[in-house]
Amino acid sequence: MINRRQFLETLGIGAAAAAFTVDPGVLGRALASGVSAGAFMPQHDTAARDPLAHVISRLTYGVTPALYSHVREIGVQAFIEEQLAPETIEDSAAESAIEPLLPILNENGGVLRVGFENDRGTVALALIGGTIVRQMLSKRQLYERMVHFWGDHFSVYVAKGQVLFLKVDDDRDVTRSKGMTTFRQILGASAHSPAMLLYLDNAQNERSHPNENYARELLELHTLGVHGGYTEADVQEVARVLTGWSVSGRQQNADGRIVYEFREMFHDNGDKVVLGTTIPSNGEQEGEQLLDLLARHPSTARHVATKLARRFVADTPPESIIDAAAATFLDSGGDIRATLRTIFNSQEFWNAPPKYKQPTEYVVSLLRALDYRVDDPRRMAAGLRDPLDTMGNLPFTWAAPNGFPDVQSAWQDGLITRWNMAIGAVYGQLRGAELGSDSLIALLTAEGVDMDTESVLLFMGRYLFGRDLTTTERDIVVEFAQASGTEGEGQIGAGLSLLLASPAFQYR
Amino acid sequence: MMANTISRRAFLRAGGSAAVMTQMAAAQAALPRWMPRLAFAPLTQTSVRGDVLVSIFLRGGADTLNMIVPHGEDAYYRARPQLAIPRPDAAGSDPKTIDLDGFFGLHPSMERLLPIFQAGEMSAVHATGSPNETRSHFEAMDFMERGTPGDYGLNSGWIGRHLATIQNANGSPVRAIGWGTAVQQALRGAISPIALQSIVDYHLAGDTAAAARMLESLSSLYALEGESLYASAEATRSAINILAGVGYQNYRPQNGAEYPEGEFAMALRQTAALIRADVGLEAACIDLGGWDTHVAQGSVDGIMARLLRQLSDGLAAFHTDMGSDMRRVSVVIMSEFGRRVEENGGRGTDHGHGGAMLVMSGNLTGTPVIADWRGLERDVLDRGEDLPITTDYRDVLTEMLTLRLGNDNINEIFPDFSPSGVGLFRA
Repeated sequence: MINRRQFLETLGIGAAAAAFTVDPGVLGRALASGVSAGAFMPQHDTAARDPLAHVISRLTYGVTPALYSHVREIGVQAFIEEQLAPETIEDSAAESAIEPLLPILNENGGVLRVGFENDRGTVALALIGGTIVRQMLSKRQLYERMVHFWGDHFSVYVAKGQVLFLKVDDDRDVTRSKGMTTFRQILGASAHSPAMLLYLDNAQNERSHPNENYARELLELHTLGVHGGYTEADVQEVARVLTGWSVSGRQQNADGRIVYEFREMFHDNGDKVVLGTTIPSNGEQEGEQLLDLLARHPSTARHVATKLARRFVADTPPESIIDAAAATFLDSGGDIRATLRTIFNSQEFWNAPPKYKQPTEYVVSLLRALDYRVDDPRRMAAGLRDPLDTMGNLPFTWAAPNGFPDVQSAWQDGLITRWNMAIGAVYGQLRGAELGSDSLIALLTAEGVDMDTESVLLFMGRYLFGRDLTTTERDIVVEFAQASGTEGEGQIGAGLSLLLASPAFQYR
Repeated sequence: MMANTISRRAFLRAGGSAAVMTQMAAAQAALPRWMPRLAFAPLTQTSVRGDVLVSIFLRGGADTLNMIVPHGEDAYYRARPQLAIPRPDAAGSDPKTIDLDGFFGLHPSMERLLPIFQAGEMSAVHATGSPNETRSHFEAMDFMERGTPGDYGLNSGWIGRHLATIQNANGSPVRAIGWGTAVQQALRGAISPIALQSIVDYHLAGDTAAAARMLESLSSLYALEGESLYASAEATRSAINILAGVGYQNYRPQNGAEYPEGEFAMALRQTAALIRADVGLEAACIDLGGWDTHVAQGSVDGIMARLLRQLSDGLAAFHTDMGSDMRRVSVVIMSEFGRRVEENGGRGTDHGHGGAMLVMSGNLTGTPVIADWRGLERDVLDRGEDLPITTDYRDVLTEMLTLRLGNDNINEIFPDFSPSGVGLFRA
């Protein structure tokens, strides 16, 4: 049995490359920088991929019929710049789709807790629905990716008590509000987030008995990283600094509203020393000084750059891209857009091997590829909850503060659920949502694809994978389709479900 | 090529009478024929040479000082005015420690394990753990499951390496099962473990013929892939076929065993069924989370007491169910670290170091608690605050591997480690 590399070698790699239209802007830049066109071939065991497909799958949650046309029209560079300025992108379709959820999503978590104390499920579905629907439908795809990224970086676990309700505020006021600003801003927002302060017990961190939980994760996970150069003594000092960073009690506000509150009485006064720097006694402001210190620390730059590179480039990102991104991060004062731009302009990004999709990413990419419209976001979320949970990737349900792992080895199990989701999606079995067969047919028509089983499936392969199917893949898919019903009737659906379940679509 | 007009409906609908089913309906349609010879026979020894291993991980750093209570230790009561479990002879009718050996005892919620201890089929090892100094959950769990404290060099876990090095002919795709949504690190390695939530739900949607065809075609496509993803796909395919043959919906626990509610107990129940179905299961991993009790831990009741009840009642049911077949099973329970001796200001405990492991097996020497116990005075504590580790957890596992699981390749399972005896298992 030959593997993909051997097969491509028999074709000749050059032949595979000639099949694609390379955006002249990208190629032009590459030639200007002395990089050969061959450098655009992923160094992985796979066929070369169209740069347009590559930018779609890295910056977004996957190709849709509309996105396929849009990126072809404006080109890779313009698309990247468009996505880096989400506020300039009109997004009414996604906004109206989540409108039924807004009464919950716009509310304060403490107020929600009063109203929904015995109905946590409704709040959970609103959060999950709001997340998934926007990943599916928003035109601000890179922005949604960053909301997702920061949600994992500053991860909280919604099964822990009130955190569920307060995650509504956290999602709105931390990740969505600050997701593409600067690291210091989002770090500050997280440190003031009642969801985080309750999740990691800092709300109870007080001078007579400091609670180190948040202090430790702030250093280990949010900023410096586990080998970033802090000591156990630093953890304890940080805990002292953050004594008093707490939340208002339910009894303080008539409607049950919960907000950040600095509790003077909890605070451990006196000077502290963190990472060799003295933080003089100054009440709440000590914490701001601490966050300033952590946000500009070189280890933080490296830690965040590594995670961004892991998300956008590869499971084990090359040191060179981490260096470049960390440098931009430091030089720009933690500017997220600038850091992303460095990554997207890099050779490492364009040469990146395919990245395995996490389960939820895979499901969203399925629904996008089939141009699903959302009629009832809550109902849709309810239908997706169990399969996503079975695969261990239901949003906000990672119990530990380190967030969902972002490497292939963590997600290779659960294939059976992915395969069943592919089948279910093709056969229109998603509640509260409708498959966009109109737009798929329109795309096929616009592209001049002959409407027979093989032609349609070959085009769908290119549309989904960003490259032509290999001869072997084509034979397997067409044979399966033809055994699954009469021509046109059921063959295409069967072939499509196989394409979506196939290994190539597990990667982006 | 003729251009057909594809109607919206025909574009994607399956043709003919092959109505698409929901997963549930497909499950009912795919119910296997009763196979009395396969299902639930007493254990036969085919290619599983040693005991079946069940490894239970308490996620979060369980406060094992309140699980296996050193009631003979004054320092314990001084350090935990709110949280300490009362001595066995404490006055009043409130729950108190159940004595095991005059010094250590059981948290009262674990009462259903007492008869098992008394029968010599359960023991605890105290002041044990992974010697790496980290107090980080993820690092500690990771190192403990990898079996290489302090070292990320090997991508595999200790059970994965055990299964890869044991010389038996077991080619079953369900040799190793990780109960839950993702395979535990301990199981990772050259073999392909399966993440399983429910035996009956493990199959492709669609009518049987369509599902079988699709499975074949998927297998061909995944064969073009890199090794690890292909291995995952093949394991999935074989497991589907085997698990369909188990007939779990007809499983009746034996000896009057009654499993409590909840995923943990259900994992044990399904493990019992798979052991009896003789499908080649060699190792199963089960997780029980919620042990990171920084705040409001409770003592004789509360959060941790409820978790201990869940743990104990599940284990007791499994023990009853297995009956005399416990002689072919070894269960080990561990957690990434224990918790600080002194309680904190939130009526909880912070991350510590040493703690206790539990082992349940039909082949123990019968000492209820084994410990090289140095006391709890400040001068013997790790960093002056945490229970030290006087028995490396790998010593416990090594004894089990060599004496019960038939694997002597300890240098490959625990590289750079020189094991010492513990006196837990009978030779």
